Amino acid sequence: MREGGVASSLTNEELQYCAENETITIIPNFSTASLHLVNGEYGPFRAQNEATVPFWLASLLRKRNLCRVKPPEWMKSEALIAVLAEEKRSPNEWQELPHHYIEVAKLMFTAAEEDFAEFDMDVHEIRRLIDDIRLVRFDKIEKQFKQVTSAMTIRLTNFCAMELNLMRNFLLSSLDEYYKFSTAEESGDVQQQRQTQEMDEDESQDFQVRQLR
Amino acid sequence: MATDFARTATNLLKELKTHLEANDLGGSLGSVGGGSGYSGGDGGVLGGLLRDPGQALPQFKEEEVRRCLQEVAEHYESLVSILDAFRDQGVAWEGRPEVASSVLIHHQALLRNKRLLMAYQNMRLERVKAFRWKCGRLPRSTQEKLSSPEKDFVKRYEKMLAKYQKQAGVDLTVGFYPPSENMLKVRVVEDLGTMEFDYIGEADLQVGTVHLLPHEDAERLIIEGKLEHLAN
Amino acid sequence: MAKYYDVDDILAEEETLPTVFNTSVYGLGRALDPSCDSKDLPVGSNVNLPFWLADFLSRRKMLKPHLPKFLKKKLRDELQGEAECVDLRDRCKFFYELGRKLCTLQNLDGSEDLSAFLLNTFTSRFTGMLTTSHICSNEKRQNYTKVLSNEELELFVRAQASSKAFEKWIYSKGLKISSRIKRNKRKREWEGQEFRFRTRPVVSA
Repeated sequence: MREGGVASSLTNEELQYCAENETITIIPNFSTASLHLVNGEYGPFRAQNEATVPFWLASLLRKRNLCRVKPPEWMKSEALIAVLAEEKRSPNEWQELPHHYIEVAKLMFTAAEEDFAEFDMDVHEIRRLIDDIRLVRFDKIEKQFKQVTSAMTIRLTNFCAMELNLMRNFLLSSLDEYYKFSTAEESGDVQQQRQTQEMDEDESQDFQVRQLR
Repeated sequence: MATDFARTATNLLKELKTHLEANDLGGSLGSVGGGSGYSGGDGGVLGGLLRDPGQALPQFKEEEVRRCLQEVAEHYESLVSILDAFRDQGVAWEGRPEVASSVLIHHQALLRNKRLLMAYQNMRLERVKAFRWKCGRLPRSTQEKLSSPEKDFVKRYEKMLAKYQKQAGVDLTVGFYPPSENMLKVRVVEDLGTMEFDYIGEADLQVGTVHLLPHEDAERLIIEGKLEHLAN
Repeated sequence: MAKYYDVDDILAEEETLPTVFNTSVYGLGRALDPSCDSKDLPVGSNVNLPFWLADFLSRRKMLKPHLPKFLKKKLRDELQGEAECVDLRDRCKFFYELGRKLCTLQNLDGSEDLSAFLLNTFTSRFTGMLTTSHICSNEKRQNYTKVLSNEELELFVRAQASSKAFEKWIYSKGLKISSRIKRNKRKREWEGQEFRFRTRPVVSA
């Protein structure tokens, strides 16, 4: 398989790494002054008071049982049910969701699955809803694909990072292939024209032989 | 029936392609998005994933390459002798279709052989390079399959890489994985004896034992297949 | 010359097509046509040539190329009806690549609608490739890939790789680094898991 022929992209793991920079609310069970880190200042932390930190820090603290993570607003089941309904209603558009919604959801489920209950959220229902949304959205891109018949542009408004990553390779290769068809056609035409011209110019000559040396 | 022009070289290339596909190194590192899983990739749907590092590259086919070069030489000789013969007769070969066609065919066959051989060599070197980045140094069993210019290439490539890394002060062949932990939990797959590490000092790496090792050192050894990463 | 080292491009050019020589060829009778018994190849000889040579000589009007069997009108019509399930691999591994190359040849009979035909075939099969149900079994997938041309296969492989990588990621608990050199004795963690999850592949057969 040829490599690097198609624009390279991030791996899923790298994408998750990017998503870990998204901020999230935590409720620490410790108190401490602000943390001065290379990429910013976080805190100060006061026990039982909400604080906003990047996800990587949240998951680090959560692992050591130093905080609870509050699921983001958009993960509330009412919100998700509304999104799902909208997704099903409009076959040609995608709803606006956080750019890293799949990654953040996964991070939440792995790092802080037990915390959902504390905020009166049903983790199983949310998991199912997010899966459903993902699948419905995915169906739509497939349908769009079926209309592709040439190297043209496809509108992917509101498509999210992970969804793009999942489709990128196939999508770009397909468009590549279509592009080759269009260039083959063009070069055929050009060739034809050029050769006819040449023919007109030296009709007397039977063969056009290129000098070898 | 088709002609036999460049048959040897074509088969050479086809064989190499088949071998490399059957021993795929997995998705390219850090790119070709989504395609490359971090857990060693799945290999192609058709091809298989490399299992035995000794199979990373097939034997360089000296004999076949020599035959191709001989074919090139033969085409060249025919070409020259045709040109000479007709020059002696005082005929311009360009004006004689039957001669012109013959000259051109010889020339094309010669160029075709060249392209095939170049592609053969290029494909091998690409694999050598890819292996270096994805799996570490070539094992001895594979080194023996290289032609001597290829061995030379490997030597210089290593040197260049080492020199650059020394200047830049980083090991470029590790760190392909986004960091999650400072220390990785690993199980030893291949006896490595006692090794020295940052943070933890010496560790006795005997087969089957489990250790917490610094991310970078551990990553290199895992990629080379000497340790196995244990998920938390 | 980005394509100079492109192995697929090279091998596509190795596919043969029937040609008729417009000229005799000095000294290459046997070399071009093993059934020829004269030293020179006579005018009007029918010879099967690889594309790379046929292309070169055709541009110099030294021979007239003809469509390879699998692209002849009759078979083309046949394909039009059932494009999705036809075994292209059996006809020509580099079906599209060679087809596209043939389009650039002039004085090739019946090549007028060739590019449109190729595009149509590709499009209808492409849609078929996308007709997804659920992840297919390994067996079904293998059968499906057997009828794909090289170009289609590459697309398919890429799509499958993305799907697999995605599933692997979303169901993994944490990053696991492993060697690209798989050891025989270790069981492939992947096998047998395909039916367990509710995800969809990018492409399935």
